[in-house]
Amino acid sequence: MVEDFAKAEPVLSKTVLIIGIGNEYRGDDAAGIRVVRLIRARALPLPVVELSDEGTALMDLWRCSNAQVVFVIDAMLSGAAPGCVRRFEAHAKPLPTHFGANSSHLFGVASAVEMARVLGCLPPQMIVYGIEAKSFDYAADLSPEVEAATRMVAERIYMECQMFAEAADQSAVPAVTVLRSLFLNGGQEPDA
Amino acid sequence: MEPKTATKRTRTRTLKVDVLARVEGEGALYARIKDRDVTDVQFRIFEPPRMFEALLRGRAYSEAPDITARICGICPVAYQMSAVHAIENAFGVEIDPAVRSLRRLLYCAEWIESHALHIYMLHAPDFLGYPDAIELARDNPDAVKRGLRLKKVGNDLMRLLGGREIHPINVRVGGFYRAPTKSELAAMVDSLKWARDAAVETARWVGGLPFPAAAYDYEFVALHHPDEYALNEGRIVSSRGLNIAIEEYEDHFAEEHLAHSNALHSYHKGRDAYSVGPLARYSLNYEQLTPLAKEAARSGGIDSTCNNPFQSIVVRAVETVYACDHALQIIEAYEPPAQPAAVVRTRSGTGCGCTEAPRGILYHRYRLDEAGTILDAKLVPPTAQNQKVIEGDLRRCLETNLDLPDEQLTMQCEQVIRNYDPCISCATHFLTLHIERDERRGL
Repeated sequence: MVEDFAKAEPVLSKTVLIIGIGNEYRGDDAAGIRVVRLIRARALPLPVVELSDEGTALMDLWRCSNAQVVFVIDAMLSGAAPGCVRRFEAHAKPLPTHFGANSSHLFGVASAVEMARVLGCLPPQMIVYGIEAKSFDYAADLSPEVEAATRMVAERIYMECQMFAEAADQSAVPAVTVLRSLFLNGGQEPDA
Repeated sequence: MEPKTATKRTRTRTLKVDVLARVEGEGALYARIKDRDVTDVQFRIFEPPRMFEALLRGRAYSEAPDITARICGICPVAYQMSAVHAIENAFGVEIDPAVRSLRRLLYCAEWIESHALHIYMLHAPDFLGYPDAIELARDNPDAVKRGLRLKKVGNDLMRLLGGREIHPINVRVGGFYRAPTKSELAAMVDSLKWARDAAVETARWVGGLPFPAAAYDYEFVALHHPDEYALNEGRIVSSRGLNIAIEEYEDHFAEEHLAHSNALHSYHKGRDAYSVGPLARYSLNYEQLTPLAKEAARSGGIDSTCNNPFQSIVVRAVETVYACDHALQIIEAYEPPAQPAAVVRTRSGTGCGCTEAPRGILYHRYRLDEAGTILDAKLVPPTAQNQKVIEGDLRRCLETNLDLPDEQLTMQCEQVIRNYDPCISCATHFLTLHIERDERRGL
């Protein structure tokens, strides 16, 4: 598996983009940043980006990368238990409105996704992981529930990239289609 | 609301918007209406005091540009520029002309980024009846794409000069850590030419928006420089004859704390409210605009002065044309400085700086000791200076539109606030809107 993954890295580095969103000085808001740092720590050349800017910059990131699969990881406040992870296929349908609704910035993740959809510039696959936050206290560490969730999400995204690498290796079938069918049929949806 | 019966009755109506959209940050409006009189209007700023002025005490002078940049993600360059000018003023540092040009270029990047964001994402939906920019984009995709690309050109220029597009890291007292090469700047020319055309088109587009009639007698206050549209240097002038050096700012302007807001309210001593920002700059410095920017103003339907706050969107477009045009002039004439930064020799003293942030003049004053340690600091952001004017505009809006239903009245008030593009993060967080009507009907 790892060998396949390594072989497909040149493909992945061009077609996958992983974006962690948050403010690392505001407690659980740093969840997305933490996930991309965990992925980066594996020393794999997967393109990862940390973002603390507003949503138009988020759109610029995926528009300029031409990535086929974009992962976005952000903290959310939906009323679920802290550390609860939800996975959304944002290319297929809008994100729940609580995404970004608590942002003091002009334009949250949900707005950036919808704007991109309206303007026809969503990537073919836009996977959004939301991690339920417990606290946005200033200068606080991640809460233990969210800390555990970030490790789980990093692992999930790593697995998704592996599957993508395998799919990319089957040249007869367009990689994106294969990846999508894996998700649709493979029971990989963590959001129950 | 017209009286419908002859009975006496007191009725209180409350309008509330939990989070006002399309402003940067969080704050609130409170209005009280009694017997068709607007008895109270408060533009509230909630953000807990962030103590930046206290945080600066005891820090080295060299940290001021990076610390103060953190006040705002939309206008960090303004904070950096006011900080470096104030400290250079205290130490008597002379700046290389090429460094001076690079500072103007960096400021142009921030203006392009900030103005494009406000025009397209925040302000335009108001005039066309859309709840947000996404709905605007559904019917006007080409316009919104133009706005996003225009903003991105500002971001790209900011990244090139500043090291990254928010909270740039390349600015220091005396100049820059690294000056760009000629070829690095030349690589921006094509996209800036596109941006200049897009800005001209923007001015034409926003000029066609329906504007509520308004012509208010503001005291406009802005920097003025005889040879250029003032960004970093000049004298502080007003439409009522004020003409002072930056060092005299505190002799003429003061701040007061009001219970309803966590931001200080500025006022002109012996007078009252004053207006800073695009309308003030434009009306006081029209002659310093480039011919292309003046042409864009004509196509946007404004004269050489503009005192309709709703047309601030046109002025922002004109200033975007200027910023692109001027950036191209700077790049064409650019020769890298011999050193990216002047040698800085510390000495004890006090220095002031005032520069034109996208939303208006931003004043900094630092007192420093011999080693360059900051003893105290004072920062006056434009949104704090505009608070009184915003409240005045809101009062007029409420008085003129009392008969509108609550929902429409709320929308009008929000639009009045957005005319100022309030950078509430510089002074607030969460803008909620609360209108209380205490009507004794039938009198």
